[in-house]
Amino acid sequence: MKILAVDDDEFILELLIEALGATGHGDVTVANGGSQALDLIAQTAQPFDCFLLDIQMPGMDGIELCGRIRKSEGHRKTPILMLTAMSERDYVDRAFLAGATDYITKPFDVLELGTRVSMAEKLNAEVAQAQASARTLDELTEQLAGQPSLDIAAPVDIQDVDGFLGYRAFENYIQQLKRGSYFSSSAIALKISNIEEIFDRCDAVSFVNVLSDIADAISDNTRGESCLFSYAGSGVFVIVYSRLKELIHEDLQFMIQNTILQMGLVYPDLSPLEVEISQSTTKNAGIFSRPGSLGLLESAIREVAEMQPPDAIHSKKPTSGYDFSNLKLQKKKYLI
Amino acid sequence: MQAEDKFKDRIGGIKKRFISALDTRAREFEGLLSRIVRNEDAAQALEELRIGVHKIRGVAPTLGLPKLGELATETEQDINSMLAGDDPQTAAAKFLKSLDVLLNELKATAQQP
Repeated sequence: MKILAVDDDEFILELLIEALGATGHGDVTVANGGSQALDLIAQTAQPFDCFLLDIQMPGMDGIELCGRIRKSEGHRKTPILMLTAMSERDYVDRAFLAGATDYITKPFDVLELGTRVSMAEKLNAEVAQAQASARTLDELTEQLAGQPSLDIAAPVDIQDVDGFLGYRAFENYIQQLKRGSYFSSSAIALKISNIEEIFDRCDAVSFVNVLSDIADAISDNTRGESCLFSYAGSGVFVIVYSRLKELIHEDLQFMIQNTILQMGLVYPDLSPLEVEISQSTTKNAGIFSRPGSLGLLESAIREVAEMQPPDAIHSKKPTSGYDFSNLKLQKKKYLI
Repeated sequence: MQAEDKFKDRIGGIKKRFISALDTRAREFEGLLSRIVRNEDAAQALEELRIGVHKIRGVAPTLGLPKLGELATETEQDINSMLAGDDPQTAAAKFLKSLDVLLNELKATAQQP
């Protein structure tokens, strides 16, 4: 695997070369800053398979560099591991929102570094396999239109929605939260109670578009730097936030449903698409829970999965006056 | 050979160079402290000091110098308190104390054979 490591500290770069070499990752190129890194990325004949970026660098910091790499040709899904001595939640949140896949704290542990880079290698293999069957949006659309071949239980990676992380990155984020940040975290899960009906009546592209619309609605109602969310599959979205900064409303499900109502969603046959949402109670990380445990997510997901559909309002199309401009998601980028 | 053992075998040279640079690093920090105390572009000097201390925090423990890493972490936290404007007198006193301890450790480590 071809790795680009970027840090303004020459000692860190030397240590990374040795640590990666010792764990079987010998093809490492180094850069001492964001500009040099971008030059190397542009010039290389064989693209890099993984990036290790220091967050705090003079000039272009690692978060900005991460965002620019994500927008560069061929690196939308390349693993980006942030390397940082800063465990402050704001930095970590910003890094994930800029597209980071994972992060490693400095001083780094050799075995942990090796393990996380190996996980990135595995991710690359999965992405390569997915891309082999569908290289462009158009190809994907052609392949999927009319064929609901998605797995309803699988996480879906939605692009360009504020606060949304792919599920793998989301799990990495939770697992890496440090003790203080973890204990001040809360999670809630939202379940689309009628997900099976939506799945059955949509082709794969429309189904992803509906999820993307719902993600937009969640994002609109949970704005804040410390609030991140993901789609776990089976109609379940999970939201994690810092209760020191954010207060998630107990009626979030209704607020989201109202937002969706305004969207006027329709099925491919243009009949109105209703969205029913159930919400778990708020789950707080307990003082005796292990930092980085996924138990917080799991308990929220388990609770919402067992809930019956709510008697609450449904998100329905307005009785008259469809606004077909709301079908914006046909143009949205998405990954499956 | 296990990865950790391989790594330890390989970093001897890096550690030696890191330690040999610590005396210079300590003098740089003293120069920055002097600028801060004399209020000569103090904000810039404090930021430069924070970056230098931050780098030691990130590297020293991986090279088998955990105490240096801990002291650098403490000093960086005190600098951050200064930059955040927390109770200036208390923050300044804590910062001066932690930096003094760090400087002593830098010089002591630099004398290691």
